[in-house]
Amino acid sequence: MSPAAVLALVVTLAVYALADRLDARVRRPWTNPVALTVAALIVVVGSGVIPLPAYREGTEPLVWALRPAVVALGWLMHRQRATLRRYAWPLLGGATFGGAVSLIVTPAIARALGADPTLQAALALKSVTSAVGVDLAQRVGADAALTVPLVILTGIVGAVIGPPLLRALRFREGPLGVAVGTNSHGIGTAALAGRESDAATALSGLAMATTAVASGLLAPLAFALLGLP
Amino acid sequence: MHLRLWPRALALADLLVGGALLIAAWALGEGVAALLPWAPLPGSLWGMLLAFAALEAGWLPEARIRRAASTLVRLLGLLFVPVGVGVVAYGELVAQHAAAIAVAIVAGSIVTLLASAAVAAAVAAATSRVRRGAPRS
Repeated sequence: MSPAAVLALVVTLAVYALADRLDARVRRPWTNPVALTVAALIVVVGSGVIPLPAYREGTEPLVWALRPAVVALGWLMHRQRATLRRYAWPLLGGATFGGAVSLIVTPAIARALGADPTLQAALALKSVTSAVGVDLAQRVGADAALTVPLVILTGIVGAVIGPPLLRALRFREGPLGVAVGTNSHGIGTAALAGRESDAATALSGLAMATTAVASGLLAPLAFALLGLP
Repeated sequence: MHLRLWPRALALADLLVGGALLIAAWALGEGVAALLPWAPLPGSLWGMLLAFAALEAGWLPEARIRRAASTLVRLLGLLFVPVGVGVVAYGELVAQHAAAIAVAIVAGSIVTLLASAAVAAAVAAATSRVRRGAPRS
């Protein structure tokens, strides 16, 4: 590993540890450790202090560990099976409806703002977890390279505004977990882990999977409806 | 000294065995994804569902993976950081349409969050009414 790559990993771990400490102390929506760390490192990498290839090389172990960590959400679901059983229909309904709304409303907003069809099509897939989003983009004729950053930005935006917005409207635990997972997939789920209840986090993980499946089935319909791409 | 070292070694072994089992579930998930190319789920999400099913069926003892799984779930946020920073690679693309992207994502997210929370809450209220056997009001 190059020195810059080692530095990338060390800086990522250090900034996350600091952000986590800050979050534990003040606990505000904007102290979300995922969002804070990503923002800080976008500045570091975007300004070229650590070049992107070195950053990717250094953080490769974290990206690798992400997959078994997603599998570990299956364990959290098992631990929360009482909640899941009670919440099966609300989960299915909320994630499917939310996914459908996202597929239609997001590109419609972009169209109203004068965005071209390519951008509208990529924005339609904003809530589909990135691995599925890339695959789906290719199948429905959207630009996969443009879809990825939009999915990531949606993850961060929903992780930051989701919980305070939903709480202000008296949505808690179940609906909160379902809504954050539906809109913000893995990044939203990660933001709930440790901050919200285990039940909300487990529901968010399942909502991510449900939204991905529902979007896979509904995207061709939504695209036909909107005349995309 | 060895009295203190021993429980730590056991804890580490526990972590490694649990981690290996989770990786095995991931590998199986990748296998399912390869077998069902038309199904819109990546290997890791299949692995998540397989791990859940195996735990529910009792094929996988929960205690065996508890330490590894709880550690990974706690670190989930950290593990997503490099994915988020990956946006930098698309800096120009995003900057070109910055305003439309920002408005569509923020407004689209608010609408999506509210739509899915409202439906989840409404269905929850309806199903709990049915379960209690109360007449619909």
